[in-house]
Amino acid sequence: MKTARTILKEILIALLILIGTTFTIYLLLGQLIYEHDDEGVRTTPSFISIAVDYGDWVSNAVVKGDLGHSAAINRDVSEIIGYGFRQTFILVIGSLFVSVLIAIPLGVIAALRSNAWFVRFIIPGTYLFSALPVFLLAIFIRPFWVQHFGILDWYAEIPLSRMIGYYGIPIIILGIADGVVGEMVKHVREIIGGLIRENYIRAAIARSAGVSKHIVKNAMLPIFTIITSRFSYALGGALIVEYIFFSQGISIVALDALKYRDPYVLLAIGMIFSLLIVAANIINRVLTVAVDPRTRS
Amino acid sequence: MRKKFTYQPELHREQGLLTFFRRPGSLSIVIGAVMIGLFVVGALYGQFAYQLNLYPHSPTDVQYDRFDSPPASSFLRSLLDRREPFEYEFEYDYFEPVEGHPLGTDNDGRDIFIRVLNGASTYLYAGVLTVLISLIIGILLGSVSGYYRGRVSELIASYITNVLDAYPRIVILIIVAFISHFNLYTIMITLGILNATRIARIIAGTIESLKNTDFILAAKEIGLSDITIIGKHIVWYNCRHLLSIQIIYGFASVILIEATLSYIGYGIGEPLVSWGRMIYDGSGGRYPFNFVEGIYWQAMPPVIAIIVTILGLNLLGDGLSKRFNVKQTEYLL
Repeated sequence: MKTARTILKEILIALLILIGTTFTIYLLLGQLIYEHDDEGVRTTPSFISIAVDYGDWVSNAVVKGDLGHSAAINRDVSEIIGYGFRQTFILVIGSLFVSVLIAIPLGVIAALRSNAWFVRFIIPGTYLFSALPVFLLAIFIRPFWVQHFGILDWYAEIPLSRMIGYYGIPIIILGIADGVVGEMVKHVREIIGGLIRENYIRAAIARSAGVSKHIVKNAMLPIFTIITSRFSYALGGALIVEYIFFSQGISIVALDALKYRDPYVLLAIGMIFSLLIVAANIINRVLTVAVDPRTRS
Repeated sequence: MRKKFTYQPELHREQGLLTFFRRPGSLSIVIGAVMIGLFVVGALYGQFAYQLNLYPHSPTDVQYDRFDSPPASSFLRSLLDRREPFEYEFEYDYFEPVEGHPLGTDNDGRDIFIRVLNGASTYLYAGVLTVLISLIIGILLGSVSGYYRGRVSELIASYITNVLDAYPRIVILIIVAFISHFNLYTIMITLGILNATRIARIIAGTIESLKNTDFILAAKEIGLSDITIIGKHIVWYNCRHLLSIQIIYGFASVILIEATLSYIGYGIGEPLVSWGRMIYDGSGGRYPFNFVEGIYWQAMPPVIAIIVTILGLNLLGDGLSKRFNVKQTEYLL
């Protein structure tokens, strides 16, 4: 009962946050739209008219699932967004998976074997890669990618190996660059390093009992928190990777919408992104509440 | 077997170079500080070299031709040479490193060496601005949500922090850049506000953990004002080690995000130099990196500048975090 109430509270807070983000984006986008007054002078709409429009938009989106109409392309926004969104989602999830796959073993090794000679090179080594912004790594690898995995004819039968490289290389770049791996390795090392110095772990080692179960149980939640906190950065990076590697996708849609002053497309993209970020946070909080009894207050 | 490094407080009493290097993180700090020193010196040189007559070209000077323009030998020749007006924009030339242009010139005939250094000064300026804004807003939000817990102001402050965290950053920044006509100040203020949440969380957490300790209660008892307690006893004495690292990472994020934004064409506007824009111009835009066509010198200087600066900032931040963090001294470098 207590757990359910906490979860309900979290969801309520998340809804409020979502309203806050979308309304700010709506206010900003209001500056993109010009209205003409009686004398034909161009003005930007007032705060109140924007707020009223926002209410209309929200009620439409909630009741009918209608995200608005794009005047520039003359299509419904949900149609435009849905087209490019699957690719972005694959990129984000795949890149998080890649960075977890690289960072957790390195972090665990760095914590458990902190005196070994190779551990001294793990952290600076991860810096070398992850100090680079996504776009830098991407433009260096793109010629190679085009040569070996670029798909020229979508109607021809594409071998699986080419398809894996076509999505795999952008996913790996997004997973490595922008400081993701370096930060994750550092956090994982701190978490595991802190755990193995706890008294109950040391007692378990002294009793020669199994330790790994306790370490996994206690390290799971903080590591999951780190992954969810990287989610919004991965979304931002996915836009850049899409812009550089693919000819279609949500980032190209967004930039075109900005160029043609098409606010509803941008608004929908912003809303879906903050929805995903908030959803990741909710999942994290709910999992924490469900697993860790200390947080149910 | 390698000897395990342990933190020995008595070493602090000796002063000297050896002591400095024996403490954790010193190697990272030295390497990082050298890199950042290069960045700052380069930025100052790039900003003032032309005015002080140290360097013959300014970042916006356009070099029209590789060679001196040939004299119009005859009236007939000048008639033959006459071109259509639109062709005149191709009269200037980009060329590879020569004497007088140590790193060559870019597509618009501007000297790359001074442009890279001038870009550093842009980032120095923008970074300081952004960090100051994020510090002010972060300290305000964090202290309100930590110190006045259980009141309406706390609810509002933590709500703002959560909302700022839930933004898709790059989308917001692109929109703001477009609306403000690529104005440096607007973009950097937005980035500063978005960066403030980490600082706010750190300060709120510290206040939460220190709130009922004896020295804070005593400070309240002798009648110190809230501003003194928060500003001096919490932020200055108990958060400065965490804040210094956040300042460095905030600075790095300015360079990373601005370069990314300018690469996709939504960074700061023209007379100011941006490394991302230079890379975009030098690498042939969205199409393959132009090493093959032989204009390698255009994109490489800003790429190297970004790598050096970001690596230096990361190393410095990491070294400082090790130096300040007394609990976690086992890890060298």
